Amino acid sequence: MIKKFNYKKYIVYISFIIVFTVFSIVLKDKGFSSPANLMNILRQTSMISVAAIGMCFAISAGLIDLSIGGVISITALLVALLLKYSISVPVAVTAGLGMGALCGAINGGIVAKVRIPSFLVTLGTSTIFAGASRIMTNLEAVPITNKVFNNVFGSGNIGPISSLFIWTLIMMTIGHIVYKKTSFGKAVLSVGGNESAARYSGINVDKTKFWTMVICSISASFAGIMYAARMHGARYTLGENDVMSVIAAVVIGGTSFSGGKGTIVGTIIGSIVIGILNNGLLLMGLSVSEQMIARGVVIIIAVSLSLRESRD
Amino acid sequence: MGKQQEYALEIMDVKKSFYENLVLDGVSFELKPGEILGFLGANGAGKSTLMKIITGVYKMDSGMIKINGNQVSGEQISKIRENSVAMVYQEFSLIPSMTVTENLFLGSELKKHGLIDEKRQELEAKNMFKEFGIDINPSVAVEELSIGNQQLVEIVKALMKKPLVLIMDEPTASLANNEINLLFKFMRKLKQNGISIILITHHMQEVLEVCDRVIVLREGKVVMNRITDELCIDTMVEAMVGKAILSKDVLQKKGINNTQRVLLEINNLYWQSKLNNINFKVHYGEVVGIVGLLGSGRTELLKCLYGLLTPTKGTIIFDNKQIEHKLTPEKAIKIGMCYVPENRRKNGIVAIHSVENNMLMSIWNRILNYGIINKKISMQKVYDMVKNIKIKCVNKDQEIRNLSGGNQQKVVFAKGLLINPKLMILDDPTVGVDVEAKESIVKIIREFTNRGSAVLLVSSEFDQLEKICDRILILKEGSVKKELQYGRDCINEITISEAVQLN
Ligand SMILES: Nc1ncnc2c1ncn2[C@@H]1O[C@H](COP(=O)(O)OP(=O)(O)OP(=O)(O)O)[C@@H](O)[C@H]1O
Ligand SMILES: [Mg+2]
Repeated sequence: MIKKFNYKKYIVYISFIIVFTVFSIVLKDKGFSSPANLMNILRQTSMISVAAIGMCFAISAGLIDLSIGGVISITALLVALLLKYSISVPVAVTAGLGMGALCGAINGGIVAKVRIPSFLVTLGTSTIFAGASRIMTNLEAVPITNKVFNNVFGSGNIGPISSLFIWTLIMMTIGHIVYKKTSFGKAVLSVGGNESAARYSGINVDKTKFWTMVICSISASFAGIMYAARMHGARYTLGENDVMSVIAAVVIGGTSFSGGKGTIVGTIIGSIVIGILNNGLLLMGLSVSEQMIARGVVIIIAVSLSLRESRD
Repeated sequence: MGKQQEYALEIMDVKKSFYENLVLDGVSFELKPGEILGFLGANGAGKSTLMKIITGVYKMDSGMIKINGNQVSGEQISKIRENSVAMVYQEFSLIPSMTVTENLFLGSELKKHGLIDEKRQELEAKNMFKEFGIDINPSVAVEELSIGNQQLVEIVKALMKKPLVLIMDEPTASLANNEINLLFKFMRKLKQNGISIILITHHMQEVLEVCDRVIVLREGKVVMNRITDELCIDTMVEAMVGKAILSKDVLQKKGINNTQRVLLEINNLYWQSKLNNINFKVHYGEVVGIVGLLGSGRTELLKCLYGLLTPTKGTIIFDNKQIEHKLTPEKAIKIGMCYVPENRRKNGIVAIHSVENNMLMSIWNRILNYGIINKKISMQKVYDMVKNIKIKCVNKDQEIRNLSGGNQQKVVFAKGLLINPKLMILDDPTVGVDVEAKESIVKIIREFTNRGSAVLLVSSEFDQLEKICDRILILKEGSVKKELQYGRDCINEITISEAVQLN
């Protein structure tokens, strides 16, 4: 008997190759596959990648976080303001991550204690956080002049490699280890796979959900820090439209939308697929509205491929 | 239905593999109209797989199936399946949040002016239950029914389309004795109506009681196909296992005496209206059985001990410490308990996870090395368990949903054992497990208590209780009505069932 090829497991790599090949051919003259543009893609994608790592935890636990956009902009603005008042970089960054943790604790606390589905909780907090970030500076942008900050977290390079990409790799490694090799990671997957069985097996379901939401927010706030450093400033619009890309990256990456199964490495590849898509559509010279439509279509195709159940 | 054929169902040389795993290796047999066929085989022998092929859930790799004389292939399967073969699956297929009536008529609703005619559906459901002598209110949600009653609804649902062949995959696994008798009664009724039945079970005495013929499947092949009258339990077991089970080990039991240390003490325990003033002790080294009919509060009692329910009143003293009121399963495991739940699919397994992840779910945080899971230890633990209780799986990474039902149950049992608890709370731990493995689990339980730990065992299999219990508590309407004690009372199937029936 011929061994059936389980394509589902590799769907993210297949979509990666397809998207990459298609754009390489179509956009040959526009320098899509030039090293400079490829590094550019990785740079643009880093924020999505890092936020998607946390989202991967949330989705794996059977949760979702729709509020990451607000967390990204709040964090970016907070760090920018602190740096403006000459607070040192480590303190500002820690405060930024602390802000992420706080947002996550609000989400997680309501999810775990009041037992409201995370979808509804974060649907509510997403507008709260977004509103708060508008109030913070009265819609004003805050520039960042601290060179060290900008270089370390954003626009700097080590050799030919962008520091953004290095941060992505670091976060991916940490995320992968926590996800696959710690008891917390196992708890997240068990809660997502069968909450009741997890509870019977002695897993503290509420605690697991709480910390998953916190992790998700912290990774979004790190993405916010990277945005601020890359843009040399912060604005309430940062991260505004990222939630769909982030969720799509996770699902294209092979994480089960109903929870219980997933991969961090796949998530990063999924983000890069989204990044290639964004970059390619831009290079093709589509207008913003056309890009939006094309992106939506491709995402639906990619997601439906990765969600399809293989049958015997 | 057409004219009567010689055979209702003919299976010819059916083969099936999952990837490299050959599960059915040329199975052939026939089923006459109105015949009740017992289908036996060890866990993982391929019984469920074969039935799923007959109903069209899986495709066979090769072979032929005739239903009522007509060969079925490819596209026809779904139509045949709709018309003539009905199956009650090992795993429940009811939708818990819907009412019994809604479930019964799901997909074939009775309509009036294009809308669902709820009144008529309800009436028909009521009539049907009356006909079969079942006492279930069709307008309650399925999730509110006991497992036993859910099982009955499942069977009635299968009968709705008036099938030619009814296949039941371990329907008795979670039923109490009186429910089993009820089931057998309507199986005989169906037989009279010319319906053929295939009954998969691990209980030999049921086969002798109700079946006309027995087929034994071993490693994907039919190794026995005989009339029940010629058979006894030992021949069937031998055919299943491939060898005579030699020693029926007599397990060493202990009569308790008052000097033994107390592990668990329950005083004046109440929970809502289900538990009323429960008092008993469990000593180190003891196996205490709990029996009671459905609704006697046995599951609620276990849940209170394990922190899944919070008692309304009363104290629980475990290992000399009084348990604080807010016990959770997490804490219960920490102080040395484990719990094997009765509903495997809902509370026991994460279906999409591997054998390893399921088995180690409760102990990940004990095998860490600087916060990282120690792979060597985790692999060793899984390997040992797979070997000790003979779990049939391809490897530790196989998804548990692709294991046979009995093997899934063994994994759940292994998960509890790995906690290495002082007290094992077992709610029907051998559901769907084959005879041989049952023996070995019973032995493991006894060995476990011989090393000093204790077991609280709920089981509807009285022969099993007879074999291993030092003491049996009879639960009725939420309180302990009687206690049978080894060395003082006679403990056997008869005395147990007498005690249960007692008012
Ligand atoms: N979907 C599947 N994918 C891969 N392997 C499978 C699948 N379903 C069953 N198997 C394998 O086929 C074999 C037979 O399984 P099956 O469920 O038919 O056993 P069974 O005789 O019903 O056992 P039990 O008494 O435990 O219910 C097992 O080894 C099982 O692991
Ligand atoms: Mg089976």
